[in-house]
Amino acid sequence: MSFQQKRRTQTAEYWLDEFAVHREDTERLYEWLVEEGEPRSLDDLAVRLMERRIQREELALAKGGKGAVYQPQETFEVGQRLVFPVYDYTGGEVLSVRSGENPRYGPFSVIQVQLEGETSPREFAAELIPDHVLKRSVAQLEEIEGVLPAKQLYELYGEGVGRRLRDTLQETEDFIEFDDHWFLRGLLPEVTPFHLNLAEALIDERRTPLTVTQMLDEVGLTASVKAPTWSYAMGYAMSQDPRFAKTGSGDEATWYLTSLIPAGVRDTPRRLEVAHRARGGEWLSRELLDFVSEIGDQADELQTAAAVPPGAVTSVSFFLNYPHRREGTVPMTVRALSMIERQPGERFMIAFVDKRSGERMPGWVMPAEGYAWGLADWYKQHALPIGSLIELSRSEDPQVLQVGFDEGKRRSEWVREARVVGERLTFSMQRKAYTCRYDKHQLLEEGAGEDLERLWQNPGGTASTLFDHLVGLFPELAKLSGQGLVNAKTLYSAVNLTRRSGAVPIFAELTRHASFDPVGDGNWIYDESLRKVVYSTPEEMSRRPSSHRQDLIVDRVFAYGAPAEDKNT
Amino acid sequence: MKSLRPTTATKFHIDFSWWEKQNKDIRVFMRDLLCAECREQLASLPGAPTVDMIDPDTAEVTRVDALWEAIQACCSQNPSYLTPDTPILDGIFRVFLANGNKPLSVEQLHERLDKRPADVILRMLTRGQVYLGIKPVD
Repeated sequence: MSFQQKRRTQTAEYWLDEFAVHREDTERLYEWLVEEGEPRSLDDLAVRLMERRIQREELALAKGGKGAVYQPQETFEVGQRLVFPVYDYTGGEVLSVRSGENPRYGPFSVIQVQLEGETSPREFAAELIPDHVLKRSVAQLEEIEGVLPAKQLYELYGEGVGRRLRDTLQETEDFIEFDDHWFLRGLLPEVTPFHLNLAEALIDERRTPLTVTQMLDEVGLTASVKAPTWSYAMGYAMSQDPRFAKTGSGDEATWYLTSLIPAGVRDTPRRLEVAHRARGGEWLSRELLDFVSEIGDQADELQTAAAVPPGAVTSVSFFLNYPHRREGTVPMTVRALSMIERQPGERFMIAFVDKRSGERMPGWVMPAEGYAWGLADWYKQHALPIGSLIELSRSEDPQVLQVGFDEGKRRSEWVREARVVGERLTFSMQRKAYTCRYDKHQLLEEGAGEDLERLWQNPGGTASTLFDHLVGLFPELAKLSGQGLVNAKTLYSAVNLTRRSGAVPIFAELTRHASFDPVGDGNWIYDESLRKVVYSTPEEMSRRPSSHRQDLIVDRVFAYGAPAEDKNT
Repeated sequence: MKSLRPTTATKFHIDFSWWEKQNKDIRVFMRDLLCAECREQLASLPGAPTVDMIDPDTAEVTRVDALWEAIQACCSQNPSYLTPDTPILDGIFRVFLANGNKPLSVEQLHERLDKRPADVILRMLTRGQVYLGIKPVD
């Protein structure tokens, strides 16, 4: 088998099975970073490494006559010249051949080889029958026609190369990683406590996250160091300092002071800890499914919700519930998240802009927790009640969300006001006036918030079941209606005064318990005599055979989260 | 000069000079770890036989103790070699025998053993008495 006709670096086997990062590789990358004088991404380093391997092979091919490629299944003779790709194409001469001794491998030979540049010989396996990684990479070489450049090879096999390179660099003290870029510890310009104190003071003074570039304008640069290297060093130093919190990534990453991050951002507010969320498969009527869609609660979003491509959604509306109003937050569903440029990390900053006034308000997004923070003052300023319709819309700037509500003529409305009497939640009707658009069924006044706080039930507490809670709430709300009816959306709004729940779990309880019956227009009625009866099949939940009501609405039920076409059949 | 206190990043290995100083034979301990098949094969070989071991990446051949080679190539692949019930220090000893005594940090041992937290392993390895020759690499 002739070495001149083969390029191992063009094969998947070489990069996927055989490739390992050697000390020579890290040394060359070290030298390259010294020459470049600024940090480079792992992709850049991996391509560089692959280029070097390809060049080495080309060089060996060009030299020719260096010998046959060593492969452990081949037979070799004393005096034969060999090339060892695994040792960076080092050449060597076979000094002797002996029988191998180890029954585990079956019969094989051992060749003693003097490698170029080494003082003592090494031994290698020959005539080996069992599989070995070095037997594979040359096998398919003769099929290769074109020679791909390193960048193309990186696209094909770079993931594994990058992973192995990262593992090696992480164990090499000379290299440091920050923001997915690598540099040399020894070349990092010194960032002193003075620089960091100045950065802290700058952020504190401006009360807004700053990019490293913004800070460096004030901190001052050492002219001999490239600006990207300074940014990298500063960013790296801040990442090691607990006073600073990173709020994005890449060139536009901003830094903020940990001490300035609001409590509602640092930790999920207890009122946003969901006690009851949609799981998928709950049975709901078409009307209730429409309500769920109108309400827009992130606790009704299934984990399997399909990702929405950026730019596909221009606005998202939701009705404000008590927990979000109280915490100054908005639900960030998959659709809402698609309207902003998502940054890696648990939280990142955005700006809310009042659609009408253009007022800019700092905000934070917690993608995993499904909410964004920063509208408490805005809710208060516009006296937006529970049940008001809020619209989030996309702006030109992917880091900005516009927020607005439909403002109209001030009009009066009878509204349910929640009050705590003893340890019970009760309601009374009050006359109030609003200028915003709202859903009259969800409209609630919270009365004294401190009293509600006493009744708040967090997940995992000793709270009653959702059904028992609904049974307790229902009469309090029903007494406000002449016919003893309660709208499903009112129940959703009222439940969220004392525990965080999506609409789906509440509506599913209404549907499966015979004690609740739908009587039209989203209204439900309660029959205590059927409290222990539970419908188990979709047919029963639709037909409600135990009902005593003449005005019962029989409506087909659908599994929540099932494909949309099912609802049209 | 005062020695540095080991951390979870400090690399450990089996120090064979410890075995010599203690006048203990590590091969006795290794023999206990052989699977039935290897024990039978090696029983017929007197003394401390050596065999050729082929490096899985480079195909380089080295002469190694047959006992150790059997543990590395065969017995350590057996699920019963290292189980959740293996005492932690015995487990560390077995990891080093299986990997050819390549030095490992406590963090790496923690990842491989998936048992106690790294700081607990560190305390066990540094609380005074050396166990089975497992010591920080000089």
